[in-house]
Amino acid sequence: MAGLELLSDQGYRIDGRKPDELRRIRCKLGVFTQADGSAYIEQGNTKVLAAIYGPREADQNMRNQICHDKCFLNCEYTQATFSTAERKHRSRGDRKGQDMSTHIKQTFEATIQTSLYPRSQIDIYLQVLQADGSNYCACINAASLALIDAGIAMKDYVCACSASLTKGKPVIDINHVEESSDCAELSVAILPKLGQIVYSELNGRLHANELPDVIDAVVRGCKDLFVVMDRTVREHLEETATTFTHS
Amino acid sequence: MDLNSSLPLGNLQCEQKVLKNTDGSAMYTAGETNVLVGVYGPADCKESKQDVKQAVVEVNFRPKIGIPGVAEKYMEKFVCKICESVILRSFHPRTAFSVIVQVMQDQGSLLSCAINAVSMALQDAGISMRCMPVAVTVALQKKEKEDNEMKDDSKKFVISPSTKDEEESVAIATFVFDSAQYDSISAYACGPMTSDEYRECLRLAKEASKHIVRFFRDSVSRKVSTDIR
Amino acid sequence: MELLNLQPVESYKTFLKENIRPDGRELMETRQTVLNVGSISTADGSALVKLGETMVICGVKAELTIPSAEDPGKGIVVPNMEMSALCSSHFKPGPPSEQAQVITKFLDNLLKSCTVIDTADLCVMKDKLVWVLYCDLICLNYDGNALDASVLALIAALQNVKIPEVTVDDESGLPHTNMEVKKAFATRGMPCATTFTVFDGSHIIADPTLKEEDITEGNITVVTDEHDNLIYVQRQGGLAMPEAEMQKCVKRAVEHGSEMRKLYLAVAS
Repeated sequence: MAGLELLSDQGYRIDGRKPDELRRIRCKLGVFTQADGSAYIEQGNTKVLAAIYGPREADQNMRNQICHDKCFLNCEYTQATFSTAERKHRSRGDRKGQDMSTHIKQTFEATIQTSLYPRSQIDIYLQVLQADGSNYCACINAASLALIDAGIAMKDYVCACSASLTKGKPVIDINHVEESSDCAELSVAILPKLGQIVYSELNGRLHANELPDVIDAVVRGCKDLFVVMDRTVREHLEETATTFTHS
Repeated sequence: MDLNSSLPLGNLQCEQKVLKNTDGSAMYTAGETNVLVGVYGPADCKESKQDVKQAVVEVNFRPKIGIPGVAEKYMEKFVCKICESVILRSFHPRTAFSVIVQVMQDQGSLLSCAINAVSMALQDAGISMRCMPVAVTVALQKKEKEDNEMKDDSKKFVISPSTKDEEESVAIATFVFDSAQYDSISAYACGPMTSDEYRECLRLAKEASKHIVRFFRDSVSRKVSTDIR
Repeated sequence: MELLNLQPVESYKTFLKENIRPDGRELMETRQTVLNVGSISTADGSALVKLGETMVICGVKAELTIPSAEDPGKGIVVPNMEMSALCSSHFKPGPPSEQAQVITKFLDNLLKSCTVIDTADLCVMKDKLVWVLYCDLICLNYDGNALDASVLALIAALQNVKIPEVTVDDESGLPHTNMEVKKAFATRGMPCATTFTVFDGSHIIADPTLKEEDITEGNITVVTDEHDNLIYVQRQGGLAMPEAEMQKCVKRAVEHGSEMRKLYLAVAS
């Protein structure tokens, strides 16, 4: 995209952020009453809702997926038709959505202690209300919070962040404009306390020598996110605890 | 014997037992609108859909051409709710009634025609019912006059409107009554009208429904008499 | 509360004896309603409604299209309701549920009959170019009475719609959209739906929750407009009901409608 400078000479990005700065994060746990666990997250203009149902008895339609020694995950990612600038014609079942569902499922299969819930299923439903880049990351963070709200045993939090490289400098938590320019995009999900990477995906071209820098930046981004998420969870728990003690 | 001349409802015709393989069926014509209904039941039902206390009702609405869409789903739900409330479902637990409504020709008042057809088909199948549902459609027409002072006089109610009448009207209402007490079971009214106009529609529909019940009775007795012969 | 889950009908009866419902409401009382507009910036108009715990979001996207041959001078409004597995364990993943389709059709009928939007206003150039408004509604949390919430969300979102100015070049005949100048168009009327359901054949309750919907039969929805006219009456199933009861519902719907209209006005200003 000619004429559009992703990183100005002064070192600021299009939306005025520094290269290693996250967008404003707002998150909330327990937003729904019907779901067993739910969360809402806003990363800049990307807004995602997550709802968890389960662990519950496996649906008969999913019979072939039932495991005797662990639960299976059913993940569904939907993007509202009004979430993007151009209207999407289908909110459900398109190729991109299916890919995304699979990626999210794989990430959480590595994190949830599935062996604690044999012969059951856990449903993770994700609804993107507004998309402005880094959808995968927002979904992972929302689902992670919702799973905590549902009280499902996990090895650790999962925090995800994306990064790109412009002018030799890694930029993190990229928005839609940066995403649609022809730079590489790296999405990473980590377990912050265990210091493990559970998922990473690279789209576009990046020189092998530059990769460590970008990974370093993105992991730092994830850890910043973790601080915010952890604080939200603690605040939410304190709130719940006070309602219990008062009633 | 020409019954129809005394009715303000246009041409009414009903033939029961038109489909041999169904448990009950009826072909119902009101004006130019024609609907064919087949009923199966009480019959075996998939385990996942069974209700231990009472029978379930499934309604299938087939349009004249094309595949059923959202509009048909809406009609299905409407007819299904009526069937559920009139059929004595607790007599047949763990079973299903299946009602198939095929639109043959739609020239207005489709909903009421379909409900009357279902009513006759259920009767033909000999299913125990609390009462028979009877439906009447009323359209409210308001003529746009140059001088708005004469508003009251330009109101006109049309019973069993045709497609053309429906297009010209501001509001359309379909009422479903029970054949015993003439209390309303279901209603569907679309378009702006005042509370008084709604009541007037209801009154007219109730009057007309009595004629239709008489017609029901006549056509059933005709059917029974030919059966004996 | 456990009794409510084990013996819902019996325990509900004991509540009704005292003329109160398990959540503390009176029989004809509706839940607290919150309306929020314009929260989705990618949509041309949006609204979020919370009716008690039921939550419905509506986003409107405007697109230019060629009008149908039957109505060359009229735009198109397409409502669509989605009740996915996200909003309640009642729904299974897959194609839209029957209930969602019925609500979609209801909204479609409502828009056609009440002229909230005059589709002629959506015409840019007769026979050539009109606006189509895709109104997508998503139920986020389903705790009964999705219908009232969706009507509220739809109408508020439509009022919130701002579409860019379009000029058609005289020579080339090509449209040019000016994203700088966005104007709201006039919505006419503020319809508002009120749903009732019947418990045990005799008690009419307004604005049922999911638990109440499970144990009651038949629902009555009355849509009123700002002149207290009835725009839409829908009564599905249930036992036969004398007319006086129905009039009670209409009266309550008119009252409730005028309360809700304050919400429309509050967000519009």
